Amino acid sequence: MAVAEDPQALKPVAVDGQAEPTRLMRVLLARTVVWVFLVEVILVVVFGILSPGHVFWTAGSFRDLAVDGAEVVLLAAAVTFLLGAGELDISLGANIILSSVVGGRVMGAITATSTNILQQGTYHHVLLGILTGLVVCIATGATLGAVNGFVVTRMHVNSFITTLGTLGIATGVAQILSNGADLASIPNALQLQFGVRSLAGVFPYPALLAAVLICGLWALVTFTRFGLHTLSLGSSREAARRAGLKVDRHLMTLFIGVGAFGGLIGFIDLARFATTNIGGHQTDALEAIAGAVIGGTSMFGGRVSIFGAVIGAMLAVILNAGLVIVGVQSFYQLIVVGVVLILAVFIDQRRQRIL
Amino acid sequence: MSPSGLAERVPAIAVKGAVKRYGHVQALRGASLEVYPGEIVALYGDNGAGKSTLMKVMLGVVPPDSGSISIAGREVDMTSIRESQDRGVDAVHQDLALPPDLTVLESMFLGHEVMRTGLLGRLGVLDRTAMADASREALERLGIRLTTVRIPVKSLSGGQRQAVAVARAVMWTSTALLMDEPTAALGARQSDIVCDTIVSTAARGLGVLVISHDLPRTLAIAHRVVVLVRGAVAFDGPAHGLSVPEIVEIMVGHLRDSMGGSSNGGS
Amino acid sequence: MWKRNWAKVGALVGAVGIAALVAGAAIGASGDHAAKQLYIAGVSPLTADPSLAPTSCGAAAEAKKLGVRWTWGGPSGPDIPKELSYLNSRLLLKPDGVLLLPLSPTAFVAPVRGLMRKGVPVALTDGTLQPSVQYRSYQSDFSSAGKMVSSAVLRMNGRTGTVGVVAFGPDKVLDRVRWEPAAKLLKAHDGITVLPTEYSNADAVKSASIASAMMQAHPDLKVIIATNGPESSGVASAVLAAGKKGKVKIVAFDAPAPVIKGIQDGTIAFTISQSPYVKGMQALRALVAYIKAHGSHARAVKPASPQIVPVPTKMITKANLTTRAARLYIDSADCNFFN
Repeated sequence: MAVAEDPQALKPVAVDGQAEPTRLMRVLLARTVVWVFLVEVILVVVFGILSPGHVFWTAGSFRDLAVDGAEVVLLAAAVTFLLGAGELDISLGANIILSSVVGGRVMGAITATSTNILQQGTYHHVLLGILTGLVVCIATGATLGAVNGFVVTRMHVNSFITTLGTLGIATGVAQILSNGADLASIPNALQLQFGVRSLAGVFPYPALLAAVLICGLWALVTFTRFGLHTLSLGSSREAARRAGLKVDRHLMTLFIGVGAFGGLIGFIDLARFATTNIGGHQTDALEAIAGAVIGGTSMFGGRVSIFGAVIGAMLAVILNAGLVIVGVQSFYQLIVVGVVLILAVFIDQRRQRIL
Repeated sequence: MSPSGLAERVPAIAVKGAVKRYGHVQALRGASLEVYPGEIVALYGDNGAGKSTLMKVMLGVVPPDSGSISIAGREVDMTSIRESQDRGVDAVHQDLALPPDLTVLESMFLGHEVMRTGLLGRLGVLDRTAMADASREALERLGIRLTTVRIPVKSLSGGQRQAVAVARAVMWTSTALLMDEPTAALGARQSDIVCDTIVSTAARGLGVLVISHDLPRTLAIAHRVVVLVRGAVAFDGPAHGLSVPEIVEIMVGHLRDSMGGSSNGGS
Repeated sequence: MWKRNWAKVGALVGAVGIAALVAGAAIGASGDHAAKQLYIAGVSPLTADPSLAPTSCGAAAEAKKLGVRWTWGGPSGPDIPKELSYLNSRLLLKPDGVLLLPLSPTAFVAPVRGLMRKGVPVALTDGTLQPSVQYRSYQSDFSSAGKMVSSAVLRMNGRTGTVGVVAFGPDKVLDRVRWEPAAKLLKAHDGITVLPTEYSNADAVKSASIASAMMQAHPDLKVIIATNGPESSGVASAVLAAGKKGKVKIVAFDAPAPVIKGIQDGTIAFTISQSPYVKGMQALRALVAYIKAHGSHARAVKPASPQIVPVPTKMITKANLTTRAARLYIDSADCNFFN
């Protein structure tokens, strides 16, 4: 067998002038994320200077930002997985609402001692009710995810259209179940001991939960076979199929997983507000996807950045809070997020061509 | 160039009576083909003769309308490509089928990943170091030296990507290796290396099927030649003594004889 | 033999005749009764929504008092075509008056105009029509609530301090009318600063982040006004998370269950609530009064002047939460107000 004697022909093409870009750099996707992070640092500095008494730089302000962002950041990290496989889910906002309605009702049914709101009620079986509510919230979200997965893999409808449909269905079901009214039967303990509580007064529990889960998601995509298979589905669906991957089963798992995260966020709603939030979450799915893409996850699949998604999603949170603190109306943040998203996708595409 | 070990009568991989229709197009009309262990079979045919379709049927990528496939003598119910892969059959596809964003080591081990030992392994954690070492070794055995295997496939040149695809297939085959245009993107030197690889793979005892438009090179290493014309086998015999013009004649000959029918089956 | 047959025939005729007389009298009586009893039809979307359902309770109670027949129905969701088709199905029964909550200010103009022309008065208990072709419109009077709110706020924290406002959206007239009058009155006091209104679109998450930012920037913030239930839930969450329950007081609007719970807990100081019950009651009363004065299906109905009838709102606090008067201002899915 002849051995190649022409090393020139077989050296890899230099990337960004470096002969050996590392895996870590590839996973972090240096450019866009660093740029967005810099913008956020600048915002923190500017808002800190402009805010009365520089309150933007206090621990209390950090705590507020953490809890403000906990839900959307967790959603952005979860959605990143789906984007990595080349799929979308825009039904997540309705998923959150439906999960909180179903889980909240179950929680109320177990813990409330009276159905009449005017009777000063105490709650019984509180721990059982809370845990059951948590399980039901996650299960509801996962079920909706399974519906999405089924339609995408068995009925071969693309995920955008599919989740557009389930968005409407979930909204309708939530409307029917709730009659348009938010609940009041959530035990106070859930809110007081978890939803509004912080560790050492600085780390809100919902944000800690989100942080732990996000680290888990990062480890999953970076180190495990599941993460590798997810990326290969997005990079080239056909190549993944030819490699013998069980594509349909993997996609189903992804949709169910992301749906389960939606359910968990519904539970966080119940914990923070002691009620459902059926009028909210209108733009959550799009904000999560925008956050992921701004943070360097490719819209076309194959490249993700979990921590980038966190940074991308925090942009709107920092802007929103900062603008209120300095006394400006918060409409402009929608415009800025839209502009940043377009710029991020533009840079993303240019980088695809360079490589 | 006669193979050693052609004594076994059981084919490494065989397809019998494959029929496939795509809408109005009859891609395969009852084609049959056998590849014995240690044997190199060159599959020739004009564009649209059905070569790639036949290979896809043998792999399990495309389900035939009728026909049977057997691997190592046993008939297999092909529901997916997993069936052939589990039995030691792998392929180099015409479009390479390498995910562009995965690194070289990840692409080479996709579907055959190596896990870490112990608890981490049970959680699904990959052993990238082991896979990187093995990838480098496999590529070096093919005479390819990359400074690192941790770069995305899309940053490689076309020829390097082809080499990776060949290396990958060679790594995972133990029964039969099917190759669709394995030298298409390669220059002369690299094409020679791939042909050397094919010979050494067959020498290991595998059956190798090569689809190629590069008649001279592949004819030189093949034991047997099969020519497909309009979805059916027009010739199946030893390569010894055949010349390139003769093969071309068989490939296009039937066209001139046809009464206006066009061979427009997918290849 | 002849005599026996004639007797039989005579008895038969007599029996039939008596039966006919009795039946005729009965029909005549019920016919008279039907002609006398008026029928008012209630049409609404979101029929199970606890903030709207009491409309029917009030109307039903008033209808019983006046001896008038009353029905109420419609789609359970915000479905305009379904509400229209329900209205049309009711019109087949020829109601003498209609009580309506139109989901769309334009889609219902044509049917209402038609009814008014045919001498059937239509009263709205929520929503608007453009143009206003209805007989009367019963709207909750939030503008005079401004005085209630500002004096309560001044009483709660003295004449100095900062007040924040979280509202739905800048283009919603029905939302502005809740906070603007109070804000104007409060601004008139030198010691009071009213922060620029922030909008959260009835999203509790956004309301919470706005409230926490306000509290960060203004340590002397003492009151936050939230213009509806979901906003107040978000603001309450932020106040609790900052550990400022009791120090920052929350003023809410409407009385859905979470707001009532908040008042009971002490997180919400008070809410300004409206009474769909009273609206339904007054609307039905006015419809019946019109029909009794002008006749049923008589000449065309002209919109009344003034066309808008303000229905008073009520401040609900922990003190009056359980009183009978307050019950009519609290959202309820059924009519069991007084159990």
